[in-house]
Amino acid sequence: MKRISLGKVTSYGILIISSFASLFPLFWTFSTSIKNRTDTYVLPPKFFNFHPTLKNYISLFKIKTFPHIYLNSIFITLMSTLISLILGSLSAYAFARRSKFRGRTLLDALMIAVRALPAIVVLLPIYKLSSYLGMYDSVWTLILLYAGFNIPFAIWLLTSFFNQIPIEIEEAARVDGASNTRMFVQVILPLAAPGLVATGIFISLLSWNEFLIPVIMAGENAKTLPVFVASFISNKNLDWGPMAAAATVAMVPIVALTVFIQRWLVTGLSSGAVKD
Amino acid sequence: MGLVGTLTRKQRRLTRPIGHYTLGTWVLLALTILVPLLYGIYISLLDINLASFLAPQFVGLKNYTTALQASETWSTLRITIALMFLGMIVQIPCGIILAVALHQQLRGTKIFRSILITPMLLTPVAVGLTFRFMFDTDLGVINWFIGKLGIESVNWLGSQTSGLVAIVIVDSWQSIPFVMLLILAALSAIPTSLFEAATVDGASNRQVFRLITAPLITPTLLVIVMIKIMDFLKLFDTIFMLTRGGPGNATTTLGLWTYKTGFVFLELSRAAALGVIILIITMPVYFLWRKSTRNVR
Amino acid sequence: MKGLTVSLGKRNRVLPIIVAIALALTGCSKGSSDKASGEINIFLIPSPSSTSIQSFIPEFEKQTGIKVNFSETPYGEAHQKQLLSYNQKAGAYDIAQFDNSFLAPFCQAKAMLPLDSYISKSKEYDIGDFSQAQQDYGKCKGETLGLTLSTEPMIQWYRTDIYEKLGLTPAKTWDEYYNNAKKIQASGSGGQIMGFGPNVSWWWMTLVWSFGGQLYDDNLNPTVNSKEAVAATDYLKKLIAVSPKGAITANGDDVTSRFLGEDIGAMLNYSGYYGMALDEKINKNKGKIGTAPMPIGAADITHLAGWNIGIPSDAKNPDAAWKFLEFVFGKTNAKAYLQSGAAAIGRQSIINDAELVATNPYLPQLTISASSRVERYPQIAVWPEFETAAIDAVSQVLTGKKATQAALDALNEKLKPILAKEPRG
Repeated sequence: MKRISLGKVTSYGILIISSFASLFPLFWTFSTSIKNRTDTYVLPPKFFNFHPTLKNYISLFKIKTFPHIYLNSIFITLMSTLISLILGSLSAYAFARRSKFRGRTLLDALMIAVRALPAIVVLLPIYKLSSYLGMYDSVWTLILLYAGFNIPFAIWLLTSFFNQIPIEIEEAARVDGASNTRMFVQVILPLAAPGLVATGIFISLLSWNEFLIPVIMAGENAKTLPVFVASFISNKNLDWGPMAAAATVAMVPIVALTVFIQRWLVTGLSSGAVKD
Repeated sequence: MGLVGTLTRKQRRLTRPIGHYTLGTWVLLALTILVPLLYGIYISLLDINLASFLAPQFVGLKNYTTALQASETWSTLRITIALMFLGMIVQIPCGIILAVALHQQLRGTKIFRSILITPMLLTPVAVGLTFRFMFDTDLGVINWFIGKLGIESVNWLGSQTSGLVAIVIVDSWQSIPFVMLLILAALSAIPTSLFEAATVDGASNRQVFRLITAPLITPTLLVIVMIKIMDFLKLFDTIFMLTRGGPGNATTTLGLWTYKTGFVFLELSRAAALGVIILIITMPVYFLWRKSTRNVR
Repeated sequence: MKGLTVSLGKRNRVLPIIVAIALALTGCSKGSSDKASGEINIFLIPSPSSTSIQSFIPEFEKQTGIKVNFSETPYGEAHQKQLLSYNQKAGAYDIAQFDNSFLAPFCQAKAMLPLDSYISKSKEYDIGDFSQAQQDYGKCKGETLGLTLSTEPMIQWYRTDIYEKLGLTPAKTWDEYYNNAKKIQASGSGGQIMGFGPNVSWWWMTLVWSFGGQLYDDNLNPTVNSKEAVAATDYLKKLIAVSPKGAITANGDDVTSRFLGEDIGAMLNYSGYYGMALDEKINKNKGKIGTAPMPIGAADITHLAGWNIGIPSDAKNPDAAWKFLEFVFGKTNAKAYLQSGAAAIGRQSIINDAELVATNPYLPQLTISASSRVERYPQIAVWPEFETAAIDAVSQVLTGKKATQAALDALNEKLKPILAKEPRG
C-alpha cells in the first residue's frame, strides 16, 4: 500500500524525464567514442547522422600498458574486497552480538575517522611513510589501503545483516555442541550470504572507482583504470574521441553489471541505512 | 522498539567474549589510519617541503598559524560550504520526488529503478570526463541544448558561479539515486497498519502525511543530511576532473586545497596542518549525527 | 537456499580467476623492473616533442636491443608526479621530459643527474652546435641537468588568408594587435586567441615583461602591482572581448588546436606548437598559417620557453638512457627529428638549413634566443606556488570578480611570504 500518493501521469512523467537524464550522458559518451574527429567538433551536435568508426577504441587498446592497467584494477579490487569481507564479517559479527568489548571505543573512533575524513588527510602522511618503507607504486600497498579505507563501510553494512540473524539459531547450534569457529563458519556465514554478496558488490565498486589513492601512491606499476582515464584530460589535441572511448571502457563493465546486481544493491542499502 | 526483523538489544547479546574477532580489523585500521594520522600530526609540526633537501626542522604550531591566517583556508572553506548547501537543496528534494514516484509501484518500476541507479555506480573520474566535454562552452552539447531553449550559452567551467553549478549538476547526477534509494526504503518500511488505522479514523490525506509519513521519514532524512555533509567534505574526483579547482582557486574546496598544498606546491607539512584542521572540523559533525540518530530511535 | 548456492558458487569461480590474474600480474611487473636486460622507462608530457620522441623508439630498439617503455602525463600533473616519484627514490623513470619552469625546483630537489660528463664525451651530441645560451638552458648551478629539448619563443601566428582579405599586416605594437583582432572579429571570424585558462600565467608574464614590468626585483621582492603590470593585465582583459568565448578556459594545447582547426585570425603562442600545424588532422587551414615576431611594447621582449629532457637522479639505467638521448637528439637524427613534427631544437645546423626553413618558416626567429630580447621562466624553486597564486589572481581579474589594481595588490602581498622561502645564494 502506498504511503504517499502521486498521480499516475505525474509519476510516469517524472520517471521518464529522469531516466532520460540518467541515460543521455552515457549515450553521448558512447556516440562520441565512435565518431571521427570531424564529427565531434561540430554544431549542431550529431546525434545519429555520422559514420561510426572503431579507431578510437583501436588506438586505446594499442596502448601498450592498457591491459596491465586493466588487470591491476581487477586484481586490486578482488583482493581488497576479499580482505574487507573476511575481516569485516568477523568484526560485524562481534558488533552485532556484543556491544561492549575491549578496544571498542577506539575501533569506533577509527571507523568514524575513515567515514568522515577526506582521504587526503591520511594520504599525505602515508605518502611520506611509504618513502621510508619502500611501499610506493606497489599493488599490495594499494590493496592494503583500499581494504583499510573500505572496511568501516563494510562493517556498517554487514552489522545490520548480522543483526537479522535470530540468536535462537546460535543457541540451538550451541546446544548441538558446535564450537565458536564452526558456528561462525558453518551456521552464521551461510545465513548472512546475501548480505556478504551485497556488501562485496558495494566494496568492489568503491575500489574499482577509487582515484585519489592510486594517483598519489601509484606510478607505472600499480596504475589503475581511473588514473588512466583521468590522464586523457588536456590530451594534446583535445581529441574527444579517445577521451570518450576511455570513459566508455571504464563505465561499460559497471553498466553491464547494474542489471545483474541491482537487486543486491537495493537490499544492501535499505537494510543498512534504515536499521543502523 | 525495533523494526521488523531486528531483535531487541537484550535478545542479541552473547555472554561469551568475541571481541577478539575484531583483531584483524583493528590491525588493518591501525596500520592504514591510526598510524598515518598520528604521523600526520607529527609532520604538521615540522617544515617538510618535498623539493627541499634540507633536514626538516621543528616549527611547532607555525603551520597552523599560517594556515589560519591565509586567505585561501577561509575562501576554500566557504566554497566547500557553498557547495554543500547548493548540493543539498538540489539533491534531497529531487531524491524525495523520485522516491515517491518509484513508490507508486507502477508498471515498469523495476526497469526505471535500474536505469536511475546506474549513474550512482559509475566511476566519478569517467563521469567527470564525460561531462567535461558536454560542458564545453563553444561545442558542448549542454550549451547547444540550452541555446535551443533560448538561453545564452554559459561558460560553465570558466568562472566561479557557473563552475560550482556545474560541479553540483555532475555530483547530483551521481548522488540523487542514493538519496532516492534511502527514502524509498524508508517509505516502504512504514507499517501499513498505521495507515489503515488512520483511514479508519477518518484522517485526510494531508493529515496522514503530516502526522504519520513525515515524522517517520525524518530520521532517514537526518541520516541523509549527515552523510551528504561528509560526502561533500570528501568530494574530490569530480571537481578535479571538471575544473581542477579552477579557474585559479575559484572552485577549490578545502580538501582540494590541501591536496594542492601538499602535492602541487610540495609543502607537505603545511598540508598536514590543513589536514589536521579538516579533522578538527569534521569530527563534531559525525558525533552530532550519532547523537541525533540515537535520540530519534 | 538460493542465496547460499549463489554465494558459494561465486567463491569457487572467483578463486581460480584471482590466482590466474595474480600470476599474470607478477609476470608483468617483474618484466618492467628488470634492468639487467637493458630496459628504460621514459616519462613524457603530451606535446609535439613527445610524439616525435615516440616515433624514434622502434628504430632505437632495433639498433640497440634496449627495450623502451614510455608513459605520458598531462602537463598539469607531470612535474608534481616526477617530484613525488623522485622523493620515493623508486627509480621509476630513466628519462624525464620537463618544462624549463621546473628546472629550479628540480635543481633544489637534486632530482636530475648532471649530464656534463656524458655530454663532453659525446661527439654525436656535438654540444658545439649549440649557441651558448642554449647550452646554458638546462644548467643550474653550473651543472647541466637537462638537455634543451626545444627552443620556443612565443611568437605571433596569423591566418595569411584572413589578413590578406582584410588588408592587415602582423602587428608591431600591442594597439595594432588589438585593432587587428577587432577588425577580424567584425568580419565574422574569431579575433585572436590565447590561453586565458589554467596556463594564463604564460601570457600574463610575457605581457608584463613586454609592458616594461617585472615579476620581482633583484632582492626577490614581488613587484606584480606596478603600473606596468596593471597596464599589462588590463590589456590581457581587453583581449578577451575579441576572443572566442571558450578561450577563457583554454590551456596551451587548446589554444593551438582551436587556432589551427577553427576560424580565428591570430594567436600568440610558442613556436614549438608548429609541429601541430604539419598534421592535417588538426590543421584545417594548411598553407594559410603565417608567423611573425611578437608585438613590441615598452620593451622588445618575448618569453623563451622550452622543454628540457634529462635523466632522473634515481634512474636505474642511466647509461642506456643516455644512449637513447644521444640517438634521438644527436646530430645524425637532428633533421629527421624536426621533420617528424617536433618543436625545434635550436641547433645552428638546423636553423641555417634552407630546406627546413622552407617547411618551418619560424626557424630564423629562434636565433633571438641568444640575444637579450628574451626572458626565461623565473628560475625560482618556489615557482609552483608562485604561479598558482598568480593564476588565481589573474583569473579573478579576467572573470571580472576583482578590479585589476586590487587583485594585483593582494597578489603582491601573497607573494611576499612565498618568495621569502626561496633559498638565496
